[in-house]
Amino acid sequence: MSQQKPTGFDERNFVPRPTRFTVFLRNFLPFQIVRFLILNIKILRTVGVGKK
Amino acid sequence: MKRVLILGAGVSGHTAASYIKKWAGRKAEVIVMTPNSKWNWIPSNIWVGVDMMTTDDVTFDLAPVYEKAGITFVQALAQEVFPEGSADHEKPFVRGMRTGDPTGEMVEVEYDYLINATGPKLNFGATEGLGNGSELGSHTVSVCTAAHAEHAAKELKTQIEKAKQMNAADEKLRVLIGTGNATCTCQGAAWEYINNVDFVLREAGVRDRFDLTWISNEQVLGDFGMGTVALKSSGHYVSSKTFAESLFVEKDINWITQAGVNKIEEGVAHYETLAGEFGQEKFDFAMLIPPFSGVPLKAYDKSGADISDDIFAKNGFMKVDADYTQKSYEEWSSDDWPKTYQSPKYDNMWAIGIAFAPPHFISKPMHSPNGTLIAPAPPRTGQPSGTMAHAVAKTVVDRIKGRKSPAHEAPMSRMGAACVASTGKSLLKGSAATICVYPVVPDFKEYPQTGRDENLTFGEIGLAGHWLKHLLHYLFIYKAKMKAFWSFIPD
Ligand SMILES: Cc1cc2nc3c(=O)[nH]c(=O)nc-3n(C[C@H](O)[C@H](O)[C@H](O)COP(=O)(O)OP(=O)(O)OC[C@H]3O[C@@H](n4cnc5c(N)ncnc54)[C@H](O)[C@@H]3O)c2cc1C
Repeated sequence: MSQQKPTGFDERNFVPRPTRFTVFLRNFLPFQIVRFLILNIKILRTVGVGKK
Repeated sequence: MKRVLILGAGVSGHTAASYIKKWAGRKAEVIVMTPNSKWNWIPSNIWVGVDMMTTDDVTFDLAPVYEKAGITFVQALAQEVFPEGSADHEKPFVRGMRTGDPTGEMVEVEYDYLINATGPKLNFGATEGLGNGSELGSHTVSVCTAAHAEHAAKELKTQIEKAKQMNAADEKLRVLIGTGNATCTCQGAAWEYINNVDFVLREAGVRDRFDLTWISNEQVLGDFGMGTVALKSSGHYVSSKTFAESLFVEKDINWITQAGVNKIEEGVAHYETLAGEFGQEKFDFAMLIPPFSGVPLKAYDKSGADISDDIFAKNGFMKVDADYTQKSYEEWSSDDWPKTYQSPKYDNMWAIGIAFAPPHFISKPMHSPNGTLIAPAPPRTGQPSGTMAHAVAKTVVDRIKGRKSPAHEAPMSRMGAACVASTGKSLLKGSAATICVYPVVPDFKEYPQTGRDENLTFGEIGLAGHWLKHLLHYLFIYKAKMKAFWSFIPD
């Protein structure tokens, strides 16, 4: 069976994609609990700056 | 006692009404005129649109909430504003048509202060064949209201059932999601919806039987009408283009950008691209956001002469303290954006939320060789709407209490915004893209490279974002119901 090669550079093939580890972390509970706390602080900081 | 009339009970109108009543107490009679009997937490309509929530989960009756808070509720559609009064009215007033009981009757409400928070008119008529799938245009669905979203969920379910009956050799079903016109805004909502559709199709085990395609008027994916944002993410400053493309590649979602959809027929969307080419995309299920315009309000002076053009911009949104002079993109400045949201003609009138007329786009407007403007209009999200409502409420209360302080300001050029875009609803398997931007309107004087503060502008995808989104759903509905300590919850 002949394998089809890309005919040229297609940007969509080279878009950064998450590694399996990153995908795992996205739903890994202990990590996400920490991220949840950090996210809340970061959001309050961004939103709070404008309110000053 | 001064009378404050608020038109619209959405995010901004309801926020303004609740704070004015809380702060001014008996010094103010607060009246809300709005056509719907229910309040809707619009961001969660996305989940209604994939059958993960019901209309009841995202709405509640306004009348009992207003009764308890001491706010007068007039269920009517405002149609005409008389900022100087008329031959029969000493004071300014608004004329509307009752939509509750008795429907169709005209009602006139006088005011001392008027806040226009009427949000958008969902302008389906701007694109032939575009609709909400039921009473309007049967070809495409919408998630802009809870009722639209409920209908969208039914249509999606039909496609999922169809997919379950399919054989491996059958042609895949096509889903098309994005913007239904060359100058739409609200890409964020469509972006959330396509990600949620992807999620429910995976959950149903039929994702491989669908091709998902995004279509939008953005110059690049991830523009969101904000002219693309540099997000601090995973140790890099990445463009929102890279951020959005990465997610779409990961989820196997195709995309067509720089496309102005101009006609919808049964199963086909026609579009023109910035390159001036004309294309069409077939679909079995399509959710395309309509363009927004201002709601059709007319204004008259004391003599009855039509002054609508003085009060409202051509797109129907109300003119406020912005710089509306025609300028080239190079001359645009963040200072053009409004600060107090007060009408330049009448100092007792404000427009907040989506109802105010932006001075110009944020993304660079682009034209096709055929002269068609294909560019996203500025984003009009909920959090800035709440923040400006808060500021205007403070100004109105100062006036009611006779304070001589200057008007409170909430310019989008000095405002940070958080947008938590769901990419799948599940307590353990879900996720959302949390995108925070400061300022909403880029300030290239202060931040020359990207227009935004690189430390305060960030993006992250994960389950934590979903928890946040879910939490916000309950918090904001709690706040809108004005239950105990509601005012401690930020806007
Ligand atoms: C599907 C979807 C998802 C979204 N998700 C998000 C999100 O995740 N985060 C975010 O920040 N933003 C989100 N948004 C945007 C957000 O919903 C809006 O920014 C916000 O609702 C704007 O508030 P508003 O008060 O200006 O308008 P609205 O909330 O639309 O309220 C307008 C009010 O005016 C009333 N009205 C209309 N015409 C008249 C009239 N003639 N007289 C009197 N009253 C009238 C309407 O009935 C309504 O009560 C989303 C939008 C959509 C469509």
